[in-house]
Amino acid sequence: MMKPACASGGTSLVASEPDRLSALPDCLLHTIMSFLKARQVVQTCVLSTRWRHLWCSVPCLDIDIDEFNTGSGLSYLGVPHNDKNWEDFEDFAVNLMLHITLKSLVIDGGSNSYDDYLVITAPSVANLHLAVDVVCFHAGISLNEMPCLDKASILLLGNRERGMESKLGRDQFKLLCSLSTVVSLELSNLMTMVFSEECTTTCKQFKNLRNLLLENCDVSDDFQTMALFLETSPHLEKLTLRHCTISNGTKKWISSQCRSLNVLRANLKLTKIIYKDDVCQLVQHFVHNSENLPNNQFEFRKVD
Amino acid sequence: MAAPESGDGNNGAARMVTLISSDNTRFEVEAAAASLSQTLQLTILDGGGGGGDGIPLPNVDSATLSKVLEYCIKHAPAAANGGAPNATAVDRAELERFDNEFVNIDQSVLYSLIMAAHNLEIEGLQSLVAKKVADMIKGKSPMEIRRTLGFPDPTPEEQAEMNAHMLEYGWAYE
Repeated sequence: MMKPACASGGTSLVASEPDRLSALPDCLLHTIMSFLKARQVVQTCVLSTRWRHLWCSVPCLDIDIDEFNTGSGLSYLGVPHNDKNWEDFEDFAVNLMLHITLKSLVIDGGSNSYDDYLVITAPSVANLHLAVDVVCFHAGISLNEMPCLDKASILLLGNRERGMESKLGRDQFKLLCSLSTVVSLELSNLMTMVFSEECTTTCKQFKNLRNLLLENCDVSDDFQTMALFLETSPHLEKLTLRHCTISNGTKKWISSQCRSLNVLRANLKLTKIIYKDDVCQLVQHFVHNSENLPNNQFEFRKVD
Repeated sequence: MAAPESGDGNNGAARMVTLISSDNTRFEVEAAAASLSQTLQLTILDGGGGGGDGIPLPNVDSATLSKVLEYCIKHAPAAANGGAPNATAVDRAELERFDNEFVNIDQSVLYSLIMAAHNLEIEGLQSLVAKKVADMIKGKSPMEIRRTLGFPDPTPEEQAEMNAHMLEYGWAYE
């Protein structure tokens, strides 16, 4: 009836009689660590051989700038005024990222000012969720390679209205390119201008992409956004368009320039279109190109 | 050994279950208290533990089990109220006072307790003890932690390895 105890760690490594604490299984030591702040958690690595690598596998870390507040300089909203504290905090956080295998990264909100480019280096991340307001990230966000990326969802708030004012808004294409290894991708609130002319030449292949969901995206760019994805994602199986819009007055989608589906997409099995109002243009577009999608099935669903 | 008292003892109709420690001591407690353990709850819901049967707990000795049950009996009424959203501030303060005093015990008992809480899946108790151990570590240097928690003295090789490690992890210190 007892739950099997979780893997007990190397008591055999300790020559002398081990202390009672170190004899606890890893999962309980991790629970204890979860009540400590990140820096102290890392410091446990010098306690003994048993503790050397224990911290690397903690399920969560509480990185708090308060732990670096040396007391000099007043704390305002938890942020020390002192530059030295900030540098220590940054240095710690950067080193931490190099030592741990971060699997899941959620960035919800936040901001940067004009000269602080946010560079995210987390090479082991499998799940990425980025929900930010483009206007808050004036200086932009750059993602370094994430070769293990499985699922990513990118939500850019305030994009439609003020995207061009922000570097993050203008660099959406670069941001997408750094996700090129992803298997399942959700993009919300992208603008038409996400793909410019240069993109078609510089874009990497989304060679693993199987599922793509575009939500609240403006596809009135001759469907170029979609086209680019279809061209660069040879293994795409499922495409979902949820509440995607076509701006008024854009009729160019019928034009000969419309090259969305010029490439044969034999892998595409399902295209789901979830819509509120008018779906006519989208349908026409796909029907027009359906000979390029021999195995594709369409599914339409209207929601309120 | 006498079974611990079941709560205030004013509810004669409360269902009782018997738990048997690894050293064969029998404890009779209210089912509601024992059900703080997720593992026991399943057995109890199935009708187990009543009458002369008893539920054997081969991984928990009597000293530890008696301590575990002390916690469960105290926390059972609040747990029955779904975390006691309508508990008075006095009740909450009393539970907090109990918790603080409860973990004010020898380290070896703490470690036995956290193992038992883990095996019996009593989340509140596991967190309570984990937090207590974390508090013993908090703000201390590695040397102080080793002394406080009774780590054996490192062998010269271990010490050398640790010094090297300390250099490598300089970024985690000052």
